Amino acid sequence: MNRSSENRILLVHHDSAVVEQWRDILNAGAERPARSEAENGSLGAEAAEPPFDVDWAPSGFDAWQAIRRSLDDCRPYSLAILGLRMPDGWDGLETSRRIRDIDPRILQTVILPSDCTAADAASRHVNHASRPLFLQEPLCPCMVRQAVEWQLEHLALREELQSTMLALEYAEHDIHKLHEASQSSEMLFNRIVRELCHHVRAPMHSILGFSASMMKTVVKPKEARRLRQIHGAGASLFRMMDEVLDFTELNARQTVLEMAPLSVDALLRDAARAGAEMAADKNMPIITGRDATIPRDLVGDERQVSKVLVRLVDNAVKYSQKGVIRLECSVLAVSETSATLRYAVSDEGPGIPLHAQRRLFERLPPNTDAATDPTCGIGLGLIVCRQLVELMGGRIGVDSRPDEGTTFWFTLAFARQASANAAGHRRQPAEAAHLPPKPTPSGGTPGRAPAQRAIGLPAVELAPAHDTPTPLVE
Amino acid sequence: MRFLIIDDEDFCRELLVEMLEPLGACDVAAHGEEAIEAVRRSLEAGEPYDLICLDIMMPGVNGYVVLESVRAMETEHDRCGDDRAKVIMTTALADTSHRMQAFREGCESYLTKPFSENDLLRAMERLGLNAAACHD
Repeated sequence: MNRSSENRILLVHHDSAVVEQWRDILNAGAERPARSEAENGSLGAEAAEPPFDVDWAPSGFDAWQAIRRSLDDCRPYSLAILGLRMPDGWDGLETSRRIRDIDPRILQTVILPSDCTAADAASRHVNHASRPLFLQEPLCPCMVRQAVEWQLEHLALREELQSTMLALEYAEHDIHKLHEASQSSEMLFNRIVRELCHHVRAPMHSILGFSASMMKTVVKPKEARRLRQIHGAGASLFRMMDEVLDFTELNARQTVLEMAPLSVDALLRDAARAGAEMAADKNMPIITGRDATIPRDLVGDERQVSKVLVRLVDNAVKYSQKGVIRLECSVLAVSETSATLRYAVSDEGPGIPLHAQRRLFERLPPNTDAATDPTCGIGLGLIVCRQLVELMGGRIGVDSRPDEGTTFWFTLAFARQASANAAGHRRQPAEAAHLPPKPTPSGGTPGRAPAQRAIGLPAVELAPAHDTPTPLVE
Repeated sequence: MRFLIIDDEDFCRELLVEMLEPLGACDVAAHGEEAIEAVRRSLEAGEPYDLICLDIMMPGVNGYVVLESVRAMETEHDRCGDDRAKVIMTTALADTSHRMQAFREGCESYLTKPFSENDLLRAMERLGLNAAACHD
């Protein structure tokens, strides 16, 4: 229902002579702007068209009926011009109010006699927001015409605004639907990846387990080599799956840290063992070292720290051809309640150019030639490392010099548990599993866990087993 | 040492037996009911298991239920603390939620498949089962 395209006007007055006068004013006025536009040459064709479709209603009730009919016919009036004083039934203001009740969007002009001021009339009109325009007699044709033009222009703009807003609303709705669809497909994708990664574990267990078992007994060198190949391929395949799983879990924010006593020695030893096989193939020793002052009562998620360390060692071995791999842990700061440690994995490999260093931990795999480089993984390893370290409240970085080597490091703050509490401790009741590690009255406070999302396991040497894919044979 | 290996997959049982056989006597159970029965018999005979390797996803009675029953039966036989069997979950479920639940039900360690012989031995070592010494 577009009003502005038709410009229907309803004149409401009991006196047909007055109506004729109004009609003349409207028509006379209509010719002038039409002519001036014709001179501009832009709207010349429309100048010949009758500008308004003008109807007459002799009383307020007739007008009300005409408006109602126009709505039923889907040809609403743009404007109603009403006389204030009409002898039969409603006066102009009453009519205006009733018209507005059935057609709130129609524009109205009330013509006031010379003895009545606009203020008087307006004071009787309650709804100021959509009150009519008042024009006072004697009417100046020019002013009437201009008022009508303005009102119609206002109407056209309003309709344009409405249709724009409607379009906007539709667009918003579409965006919302698209967003929902992308979210649900992302959720579905994540679920599929998780399922896949879980279902791959049992067959992987079989491949890695049996190939490792057969390697112990097989005697022919050729067969042994092939078995090692199968085992190595399986291990690297699984490592990739594991990275994808970690990545999806981290991005779905489903990774929960498990706080338990943690052993720096075990972490270093496990990471060194994880890289040992490949390093031995390249004749590269892995040396571990630690500050003697590292407290022994640290609390943290050993499994996640181990994941980061193992990946860094793995990378160091993978990307160097010679030299020594150093795996070190040093104390940056230590207090009664916490200790900040720095883990560093250094190699003497070719180094990483400065421009590539920046992109190492970013979302996109740094090496787009991954497909052609067999030693390169899918590039998620360092991203997962960064996300894990940041989840645990730490920082990760790289220092590298061409031809001298590369050091990947990360810092983490660990809470400390009273050593008396950790030593000789056995499993606590099952209920304790929900709670973060607690100090005993004799001990100090364990401090705040370094990560925001942490769930405590019973405060004992539960030794969260290492899920990290380590070669089965060292 | 006495071991009980519970897994519905043949090959998983076989791999675990191979890893643990050098260290002691291995019993196997292919499903939860069988496992609970084996633990009951061992407790009644006064020859409890030192280590139970327990899968979670099994048809019928799952690993959590087995674990719960084992702990209940041990309590009935006045076994608590170090007198109880050490339980290592050996499962393909890697989510934190499963790990948490397993520890809540009373397991001592949690290994996610694929795990190596070394992973198992290290886990045992940490639980005070002196596996490394026996193995080498």
